Amino acid sequence: MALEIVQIDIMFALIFLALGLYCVLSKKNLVKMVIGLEIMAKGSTLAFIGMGGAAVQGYVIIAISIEAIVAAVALSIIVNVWKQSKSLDSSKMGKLRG
Amino acid sequence: MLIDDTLLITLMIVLPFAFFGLVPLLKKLGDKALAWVSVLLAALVAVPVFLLLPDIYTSGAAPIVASYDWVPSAGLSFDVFIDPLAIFIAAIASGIGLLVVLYSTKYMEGEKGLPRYYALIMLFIGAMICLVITDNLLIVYFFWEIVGLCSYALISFNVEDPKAAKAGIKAFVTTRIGDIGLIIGIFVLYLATGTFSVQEIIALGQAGDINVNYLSFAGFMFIIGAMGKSAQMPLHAWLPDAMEAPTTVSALIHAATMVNAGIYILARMAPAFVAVDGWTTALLYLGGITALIAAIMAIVEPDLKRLLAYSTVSQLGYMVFALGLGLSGVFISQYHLLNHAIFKALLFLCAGAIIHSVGTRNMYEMRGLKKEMPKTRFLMLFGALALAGIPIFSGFWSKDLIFAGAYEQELWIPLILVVVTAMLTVAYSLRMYFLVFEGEPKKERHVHETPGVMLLVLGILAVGAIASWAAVEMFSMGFSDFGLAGADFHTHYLGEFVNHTLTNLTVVGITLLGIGAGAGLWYGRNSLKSNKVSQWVIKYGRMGFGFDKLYDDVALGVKKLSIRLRKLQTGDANMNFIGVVILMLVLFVMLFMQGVL
Repeated sequence: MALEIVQIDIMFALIFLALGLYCVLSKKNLVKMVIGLEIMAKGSTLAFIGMGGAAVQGYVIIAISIEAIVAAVALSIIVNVWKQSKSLDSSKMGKLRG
Repeated sequence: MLIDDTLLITLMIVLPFAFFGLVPLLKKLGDKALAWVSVLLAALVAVPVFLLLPDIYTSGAAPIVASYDWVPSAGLSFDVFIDPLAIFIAAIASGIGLLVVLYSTKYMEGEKGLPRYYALIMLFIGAMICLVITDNLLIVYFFWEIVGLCSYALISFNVEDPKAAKAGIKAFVTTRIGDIGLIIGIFVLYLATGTFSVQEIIALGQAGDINVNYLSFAGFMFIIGAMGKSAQMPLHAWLPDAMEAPTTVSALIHAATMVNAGIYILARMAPAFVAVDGWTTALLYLGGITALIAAIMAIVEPDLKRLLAYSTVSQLGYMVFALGLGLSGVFISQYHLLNHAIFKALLFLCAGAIIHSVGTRNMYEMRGLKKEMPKTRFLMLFGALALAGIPIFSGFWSKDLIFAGAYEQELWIPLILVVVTAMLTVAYSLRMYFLVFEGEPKKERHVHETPGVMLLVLGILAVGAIASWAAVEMFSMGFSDFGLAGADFHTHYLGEFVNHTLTNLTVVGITLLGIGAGAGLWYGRNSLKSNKVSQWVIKYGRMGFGFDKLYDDVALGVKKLSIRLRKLQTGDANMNFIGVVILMLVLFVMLFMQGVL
């Protein structure tokens, strides 16, 4: 039974989501966590394209640019964390713990 | 009907909020001009409300109904339902508001932050009007919070005084506990009926179409809501502390209007809840016990404003008690509310004039003001007599109705509670009057008589304290026309009412007994003071009978619990993310179970 293109899209989207989730949950390095988040976001974008066809182009482009903004903000925070503590290990960042 | 009702309603909703925005912009005018412009604006707000009064209170009048879209996409509309209950509280809010603003022109002269003061008073008047005229419980809650916010901001008006800031926060937090009860009650009613409309809920409730469990739960939640706002035991301790506010604010918000919001919401919902088992009994005891304990605290209080605050708590207890008499009690409680709003505003404003002039709130440091402030003394005497319920003054007539109601229903223990309270009321009224005006001053001082504008306001209120009860005819007709007074209620024509009250000898006897005992208590004070029980009462009464300690203990318990729970917060990014994922899974499962997915 040949797979339809939609099913392939969704399958890859799920794989991306799972990979990204694993990365975010298990990695301690902040940069790696951001990469994980980005992979998850790409998964959801892919699912969006697969389900919506040509009509969602505009939304997808907006979504991608917002992801880029989010990544930029996250990375700038990470740069500041690096300047403060000379470390990127998230488990060592308990200073502001409430 | 000179002007179209819809126009009047629109004006009375829109004007106060527009003025709330306008007043701060007038700062450039200077303080004096600002104050007088505010008087003008407050008068403009009061005009439409008072123009609507005769339209509602003519016999056989229909309620005025209107509807404005608010958030159409959420199906929320500002439904207006004006009946005698609503328009009368709106009239008190705007009428006393106008008098207080007029009084403030002199009283608040030279204070910092006057634009903020006048703007907040405008916002308060507007929110109070909207709170009572709307038919939608969600919107009631919305404005319920706005009046709470105004109360907070005005208590802490003197932002540089840490005591005032603390008192504001205390008032805000304490009333918030009641508010949680109210919002739970509203949502439970929505769950049971599918509507926020008060009138629809009342119709369903009277037809018995609401699940009894929901209805009784909501009824008691509404009582908790009223407990916070109307300062009933055990949530009353914020009101005496709120006396850090300027006295004008105490008169308007903490005596005449906002504290009546709780009474209002109970009276409004009474037709729906009155059949709930134990609802009226709970109100009887809540009101009776609050009235009694607050009166005891008033009797030992050395601070003039705090004494008046305790007395307000006590009188609010009377109103809650009157609601406990069933549907016919709605009229009685609102009648007492009317009289109380006027004479208590008078007492507070007199106290303000005295404090303004003497510069202390401690009554033992005042003494002997009768020579220096003869006019104020005369006016305050009217207020004190009305508070004590001396015949002819307004407090007598409504208290007599409360006693008569309890007597007719043979509620002996509650009746004893309120009669003892009446006795204590007489005693503390006398104590207040004699401590302030009689005796000899302890040291040299320069005290001036109350200035003209303030005396004018006091004079108007003093006339009200003598004459407000005479509105009984119009008032009772309006209430019984709208089914707010119960089937057994008979409309009071003025002459008949006087005749009926004075010939009901048992009740008049009870009242006179209370007055006599109270006066006796005052004259025998020195011999009564020395024994151990009185010493204990004086010592712990001045500490508020430990309610503040109770609040502190609760706060401490919450704090300890929070410190323990804090260990859950590891600060580890991976752990936090796992929490997010678990929450999403739970939501997914919930949606799946409900068949959404």
